[in-house]
Amino acid sequence: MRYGLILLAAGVAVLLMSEAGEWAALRMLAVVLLVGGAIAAGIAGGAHPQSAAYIKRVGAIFSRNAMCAVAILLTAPALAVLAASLYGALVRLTSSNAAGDAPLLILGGVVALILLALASTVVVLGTGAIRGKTPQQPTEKQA
Amino acid sequence: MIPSREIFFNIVPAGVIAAYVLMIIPIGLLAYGLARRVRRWRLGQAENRFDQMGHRIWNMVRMSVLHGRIVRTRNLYGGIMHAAIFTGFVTLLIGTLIVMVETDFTVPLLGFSFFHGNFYLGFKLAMNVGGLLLILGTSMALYRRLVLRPATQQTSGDDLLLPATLLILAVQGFVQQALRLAMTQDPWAAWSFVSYPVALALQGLPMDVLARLHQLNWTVHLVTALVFIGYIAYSKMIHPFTALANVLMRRIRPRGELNPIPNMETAENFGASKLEHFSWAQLMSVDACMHCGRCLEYCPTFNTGKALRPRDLVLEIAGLQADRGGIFSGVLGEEANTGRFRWGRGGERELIGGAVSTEEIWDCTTCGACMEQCPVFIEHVPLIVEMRRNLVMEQNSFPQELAPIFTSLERLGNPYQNVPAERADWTRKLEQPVRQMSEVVAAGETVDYLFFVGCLGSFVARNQKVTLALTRILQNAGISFAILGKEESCNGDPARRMGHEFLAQQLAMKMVDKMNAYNVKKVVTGCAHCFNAIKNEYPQLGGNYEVIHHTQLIDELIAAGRLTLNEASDITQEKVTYHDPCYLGRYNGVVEEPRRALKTIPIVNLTEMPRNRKHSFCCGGGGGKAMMKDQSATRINQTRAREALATGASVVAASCPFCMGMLEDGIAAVDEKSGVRVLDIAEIVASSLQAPAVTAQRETV
Amino acid sequence: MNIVVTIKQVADPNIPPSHIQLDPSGKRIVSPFGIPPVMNGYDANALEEALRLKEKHGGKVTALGLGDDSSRESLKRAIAMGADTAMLINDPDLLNADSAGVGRALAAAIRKIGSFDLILCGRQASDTDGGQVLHWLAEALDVAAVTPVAKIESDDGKQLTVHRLVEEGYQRLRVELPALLGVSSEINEPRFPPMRGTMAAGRAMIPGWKASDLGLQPSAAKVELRNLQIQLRTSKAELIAGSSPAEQGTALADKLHELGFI
Repeated sequence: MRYGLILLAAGVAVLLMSEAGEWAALRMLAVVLLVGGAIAAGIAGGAHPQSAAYIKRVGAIFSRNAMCAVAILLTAPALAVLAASLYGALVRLTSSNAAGDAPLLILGGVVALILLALASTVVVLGTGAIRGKTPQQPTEKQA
Repeated sequence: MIPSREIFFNIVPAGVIAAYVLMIIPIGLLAYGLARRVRRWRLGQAENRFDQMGHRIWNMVRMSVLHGRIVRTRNLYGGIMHAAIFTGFVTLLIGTLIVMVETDFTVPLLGFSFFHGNFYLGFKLAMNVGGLLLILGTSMALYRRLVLRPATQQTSGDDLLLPATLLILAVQGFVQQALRLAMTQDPWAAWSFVSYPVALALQGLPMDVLARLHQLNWTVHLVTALVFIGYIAYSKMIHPFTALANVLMRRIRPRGELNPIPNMETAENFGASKLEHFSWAQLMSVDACMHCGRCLEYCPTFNTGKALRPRDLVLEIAGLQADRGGIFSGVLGEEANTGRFRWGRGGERELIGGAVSTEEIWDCTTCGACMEQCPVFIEHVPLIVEMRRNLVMEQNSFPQELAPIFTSLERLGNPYQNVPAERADWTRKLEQPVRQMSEVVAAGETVDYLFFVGCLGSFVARNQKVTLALTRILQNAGISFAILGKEESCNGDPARRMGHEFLAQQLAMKMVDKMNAYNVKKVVTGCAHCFNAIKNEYPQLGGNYEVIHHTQLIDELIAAGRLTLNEASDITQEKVTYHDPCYLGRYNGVVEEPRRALKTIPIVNLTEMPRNRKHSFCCGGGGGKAMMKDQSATRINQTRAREALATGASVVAASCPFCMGMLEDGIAAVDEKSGVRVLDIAEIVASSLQAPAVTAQRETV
Repeated sequence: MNIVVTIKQVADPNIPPSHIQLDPSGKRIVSPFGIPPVMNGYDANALEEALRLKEKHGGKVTALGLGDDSSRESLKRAIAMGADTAMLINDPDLLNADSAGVGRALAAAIRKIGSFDLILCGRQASDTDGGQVLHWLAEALDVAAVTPVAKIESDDGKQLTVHRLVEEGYQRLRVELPALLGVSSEINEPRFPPMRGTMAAGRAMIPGWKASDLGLQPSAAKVELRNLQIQLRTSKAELIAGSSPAEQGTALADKLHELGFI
């Protein structure tokens, strides 16, 4: 655990230096230190008898509803942008100056629509799953 | 202008720093979760799975990375689905790494940039294809789980959440690219063929709105990716690690060979009643399961509504060893949310009777359909046999009908209380005598083959007819062979698969001693179970022979022209379907020889059942189940009998005495007026023999 | 509760009659090829009952046999099932003793073993079906004997309430301990020997006692077995022919009448 934390601290320090001093060359080192530190700390934590109880307490903080909210927050921007592009495609198609781009705009609208439909379906499914809703199970007919 | 793009475009340095620092949390959680799992596996018994590393690595690449075992012609949907998700995910992962290598490694350290020009254009194209594949694959997965709903798939929250997250990640990626393209209006934007049209549609938005949205989406895309990585070790998404490890570390032995218990006299424990009684590799294997349900497709107990479902058995064991010290051990880890059995229930349960019911353990016919199907080489049957061993040898607890079977095997060397002195009595019905090994050796002579008749072929009237037919074929072809006669006893297979390893080793040892004393080199068996045991398991006890099943020998003899077959015989012009015995076809790959033998018989019309060859459906008689009751739900043999009857065949060809008995009973129970006969391939061939034996044969068939 | 169970090794009663063989003297059944002798079935019931009492009260179960050295196999099975120790009286002079002689030899051995609360015997042996030895044994030890016992209803360590089979019913008897019971097969289903037991039995040493070890004086048998004889029942089958069920029925009736059955 100690080595992991040392590596992590070193990694953060190097990263800050590289960004502050614009020494891009140091960033790779920072990444190696950070990833190595995270893995070392994780493995050490796995061997630590107390860690399970500790992480369990952290895990208990997350309620189903809170995680649903997080899921919606994480997907909302993408959904909004897709809706915007769908709207944008419609607006530009109806205004006369987009004649040359029409096929591409229609395509853009269709792509946005498909992605929007899939993503919003998935948000409904995912939040349902987080809330512990069991999906409908198949009937196990005998073969 | 050279095509390229600015990396971290529109992202403030603080965002970059945050990205790199935040990354450590999920990576730490992943390492923590994996380390905890590895610690649990290490509690298992020692077993060497580190031999033949080259072969192992190549096998893993071929079977898993190249999808050799994942895509199947019999069920393409799942294979295509996985290939799409895999290819998409790996493409995007590699793409992200390429960007990182460019920006953090080659440019600052080597002063060399490659992220431009044709490479960049190809990169854009590949990333768009990858994203599309990921969306396609995850949509297929969700469609199957929610709409197609095959009977083999029970869906948990985990099964939905993972494809949902992957799909969202891909959509976010496209959105991110579309926003950037809308801002930069790159002349080569069309190479991103998915994002480009969307970007066009977005171009009406003001630049500062686009920039804000771009930053916002970048942030949530990053956080989603981090959440996903953190979730890996606590869901079935761990399977890229555990499944690859299990494929790499799989048991490279014939699948029909069970591991013996070495040094029974000094063993402290028999079988498994606790997790740590399994080997480390077995403990690892249950963590490789990702609930795909393929093991259930041809499973005789699942398909007849019994308690045992191999998938659930694996998940129950996985659930018992599940690490409840993870971030999802709070309310999020409750049963319905993630894998059905993985979390929640608590570890303070017995393995047998708690996590796994005894009914499940005794249901198994050991047919191996689950192991043949499992894409990640989980071996269910050895897990079940380990628990049977514990029940029989430590707890003295087994279905009561097995006590007389065990006693008979122990005292008389056969399962059904037959008189050992009568073992060779069937030979009296032959015109030409059969020699016994003891006589052959006493006379200082040798024979080419030992014919290992087996208990059913020796004692059971119906199976004796098969033995007689086979003997006549051997005699007709002039094969030099002998039998053990009264000195033969059970080979140990049923006892072994019923968990009585001690008895099995005693019986097998007796036969190995006898066969070695007679310097036996080649063995032909009339039973698929004898065949598998002598071929695959006797080497454990120092019995190394060339073992051949009678259908293989018959096929050889026909090919060599040593048998002349008649135009007209008992079953010519009849429709015949062939039932593959599990221990011949699935376990030992002998599927074409019996069919070739049948097809060479003039005018036999061979038709196949839907489930055939390595995907055959068990008759219900393996693993000692022929000696146990099969009472819950539908009988397995009747299910198979219905399948055979549905082909319209008038003869069901068998090549194993257990299958023969089970199928005859099954057909009689399903439709006793059908008049469909079950005949061994030896009987069918013998009835076509052009030889003096033909008339005698007629009576016995 | 210390219990002694007497165990006799007999030829397997499931040997098909056609395979039963006698030794040249005509006095003994020889086990045919591949069918080893077994523990007498009623003795297995007695042992099972002893083991159940031991599981309830604690104590020790001792298996005691009389026979040639091969009889150790049955005593090993007794250990496999759960008996604590086993002894074999294997004096060649005692092998041909009559019931009285065997009873006295067993009694002497039990005295040598030490104190006991209960002696359980099988009600009879399946080879001779005499049912005599247990009475001689009870006589020699001066304890009460009840046989055939189908159930031990209650026991408090001092006395037992048992069901003794009589024709079409049973008697409830209270027996003071120490006592001897002749156990019948209705009482229980003998257990399958656990594997650990079988392995322990394989390593167990079973002492052999001679008449001199027991302080027995040789005494002539008052009943002597002269010889055994095998009577084989033969059966034959005949198919009743007839074109209709009615015709077959008539033919069957005719045949039965002809044979004197109706």
